[in-house]
This record gives sequence, structure tokens and C-alpha cells, in this order.
Amino acid sequence: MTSTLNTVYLNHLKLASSYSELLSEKYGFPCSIDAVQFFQESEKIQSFLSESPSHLFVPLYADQSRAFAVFPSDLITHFTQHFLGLDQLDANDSPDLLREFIALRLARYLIEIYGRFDVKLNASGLVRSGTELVINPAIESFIMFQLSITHATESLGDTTILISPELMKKSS
Amino acid sequence: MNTKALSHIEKVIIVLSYIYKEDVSLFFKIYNRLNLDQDVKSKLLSQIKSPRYYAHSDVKFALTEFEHLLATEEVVSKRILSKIHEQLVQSNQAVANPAAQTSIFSQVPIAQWLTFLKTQHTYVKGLFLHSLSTVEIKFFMSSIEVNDIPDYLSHYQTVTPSNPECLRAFRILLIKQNTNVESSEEELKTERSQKLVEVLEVLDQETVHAISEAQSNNMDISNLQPFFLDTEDISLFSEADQRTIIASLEEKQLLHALLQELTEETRLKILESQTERRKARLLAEVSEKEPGDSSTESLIHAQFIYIIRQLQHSEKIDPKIKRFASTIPNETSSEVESIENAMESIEEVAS
Repeated sequence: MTSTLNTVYLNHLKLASSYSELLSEKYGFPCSIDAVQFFQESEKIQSFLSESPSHLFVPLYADQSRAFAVFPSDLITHFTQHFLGLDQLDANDSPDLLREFIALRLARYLIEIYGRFDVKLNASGLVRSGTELVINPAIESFIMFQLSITHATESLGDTTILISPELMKKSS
Repeated sequence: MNTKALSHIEKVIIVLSYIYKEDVSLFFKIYNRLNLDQDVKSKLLSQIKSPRYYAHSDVKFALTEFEHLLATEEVVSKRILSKIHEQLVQSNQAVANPAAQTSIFSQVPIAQWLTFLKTQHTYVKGLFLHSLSTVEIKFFMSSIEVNDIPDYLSHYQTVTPSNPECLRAFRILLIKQNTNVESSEEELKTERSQKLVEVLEVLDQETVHAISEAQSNNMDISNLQPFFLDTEDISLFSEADQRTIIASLEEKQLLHALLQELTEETRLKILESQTERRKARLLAEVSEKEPGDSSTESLIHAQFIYIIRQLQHSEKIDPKIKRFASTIPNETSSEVESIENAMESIEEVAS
């Protein structure tokens, strides 16, 4: 790992810590991010895209590039359940409107944390499913971070961030 | 009425009506816990929503008795009372927040909310109710069918939003979604009416009247007629716009014919935007010309209106003049405003 990527990775470790604190505060249950994984190989990113048809992708925009905050369905269900104050929530029983809203909120908290690292991102307000998304690796390149969110000992799923390397270099 | 004649149920109605008037969400929390048959509850609710007249002394007597019962903890324990007090303080703080005072129903009419909510999941309905202020929830509950109230209360009770900031964001999302739907539908309707205006305004009075008679059940042309553009309406435009219109008419060699069609007064007013020399020349040229026959006149009229509309569409002149606009007042907004005003008055009196 080059020194720049090393800095970017370290920044994401800090970001993960702030993100888990923010989520715990906002949703009223303790959650932590125990692992941050980093990928830059385009094959790995492509396979993630093809294997995530039910994930919720929130497109984020910077001046010259775009990024994605990606949330698995189970993670969204968990946060929806906490927002509604329910003891249990079946994934099939949560309306799309609410799921997309929660995905946007989780993405907005990420934007807030990225802002602390001088990475300015904006959400368009749209949420896409993995099947709707088209990324041309010849035009856009991404680096991928996966933050593994856990509540007590239960794994809630990985929040994935796809972001352009150029954008991250600014923060380093 | 003699105070001794008040039955227990009447006292209950007086007390609950008072709570309903003061804090509708607190009222529904109490109402929902009443262990009564659903029909009885519905009847009770309709009486509370529209209570019959009670003498002031009766109301005072019932409320004083209730206060006494509260003070002696025969009805509610001190712990619950202090909780209610806290809730009331919080609710007053919410009302004091200017952002919270903007009514959700003045932004989107109640009918549209009801249509939207019909298609939504229980959780969305519950969150919607939680996002309402006391005044809004009172207005909402008084706007829906009595039979629907228990369902909405059940939706309300199903969820307990954990994150107030997230709830506010959800409220904004719902408003945004419904405002977009409303405005796009309204825009489409306005656009259709404007197109109709532009088709009808070039026709002569008899034809418009004949269409109006034939289509009396399907469209009301009288609503569109005020937006019909006429030759004399050129005076509604600014001086700069009038110059643009005259230049365009001259370019299409329609100016002289038009000037002939106008009244002396309007003709002079329009030419005011021209130089004295040019004005004199144009007036002289017009006076020399023979008046055209009626078929030529209606053709010039149509061409003139067409040119003005084209200039409006390309925004070379003010596009708003004689443009169709729906002027139907928003009754729901005024209703909410009147309720808000009434609530303010009640609060003032109470304080």
C-alpha cells in the first residue's frame, strides 16, 4: 500500500469510528464497526456490484466524480426497526418508501463524516438497486471500503463506500 | 342547567372535550385506553368532537371536580401527572418553534394527504401522525371519517419513532413528495387550459359561444375567457415589450392593419412608445388607408394574437400577461389557519 493509500485507509478507520458513534446516538442502540476492509482491484469491485442486486445504492456526487454508499437489505431493516421503535421487523413488511428513506439517512450521516475529512459529497435524493446501476470501469474508477457494523455480537452487515481515488487523495 | 343534573357521562364528556380542545394527542392516548365497546367509543368520540351546549357553570363544576380528583390522586397518580405536565411543556416548546408552526396542511391539502396515505403502509401512516403537531393532528382527526379514526390511532400506536431528527426529515420527505405530485399535476392542468385559451382566443365570439353551448357539460369556457388575448391588451405590456411587439408586427407587415383595428385611444397609447416623428407618420398612413372587410379583420386579429403568444413563448415579452392561472382558493389552508388562530387565542386566554 502506498503512503497515500495508507493515509486514506487510516482516515477511513477514523471515519468508521465516528460513523458508529453517530449511528449509535441517532438510533438509540450501541453499534460498532469492528472491521474496515479496503479493495482497489476492479475485478473485486465488479464482482461486488454483480453480487449485490438487492443492496440499496445511494449515489453521491462531488465536483468531478461520483461515489456510492451501499447498504445491504438486512442492515436497512435493522435501522428501520430501530427508527420505528419496534421489537421485530420482517424485511418483507417494511415499505420501500421507508427503506429508501433510511438508506438516504445513513448516507447523509456518511456525508457528514466525510465532510470532517474535507471530502465534499452531495446526495441526489435517489436510491438505486444494484440491478439498476451501470458503472463503466473504463470511464470511472473506484476504491471500495467496507465497514462491518455490529450490534452487541450480532453482525448487521457491511456498509460499502465506492469512491473515486482522486477524491480521496484530496483528503489525504 | 342545574349542576346537580349532570350525569357521570356528561362530566366525562365535558372533561374529555376540554382535553381534546387543549391537546388532541393526549386526548387520543386517553381515548385509546378506554375499555369500552367500539360502538360506544365511536359515539363518545362524535359527542366530544361536537359537544352539545353546556352552561359555563356546569363546565366549571365538572372541571373543578376533575381537578379535585386529580389532586387527591383518586384518578391519576402524581408520577403520571408530572409526566403529563412534562409532555405539555414539551408540546408548548414545539409550538414555540417557528419551523414547527408551518402547517403540513397549508403546504399540501388534506384531501391529497388522505389519497396518498390510502396507498401507504401502516408504518408510514403511523410515522405521518407522529410527525404532526398538536394542531395538525387535531385538524387531521377532525377531517377523516369517524370510522377511520380507530385505524389511524392503531397505526399511531404501532410505531414509536426513536429519532426526532429522523422523524422531522421523514416529514420533510413526505411534504416534498406530495408537493411535487401536486405541483406537477397542477402545472399539467394549467398547461392544458392555457393551450385551450390559445386555441379559443383566435376564434370569433359567435364560434366561441357555439362551442360553449355545445360543450356546456364538459368544459366551462367562461373560466377561460378572462385569459383570452385581445388586440387592446397590447396596452397591458410594458413600453419595451410594446416596442418588441410593434417591431415584430412591422417585420411581418401587419402593423398598419392592426392600427386600423384599434380604437383611437389604444392606438395613441401604443404609439407612445414610438418617437414623435414615427408616431405622426404611422397615424398619417393609417388614416389614408381604407378600412378592411370583416374577414380581413378577423384574420389580422388572429395573426396579431398568434405573434404575441409566440413572443411570450420565446420570453421576448412578459409571458405572464393573459396567461391562464388557477385562482381557486385553498380552502384547506384557510381552515388550518383559522384553527391555528383559534388555538393561539385559546392559549392566550389560558395564559
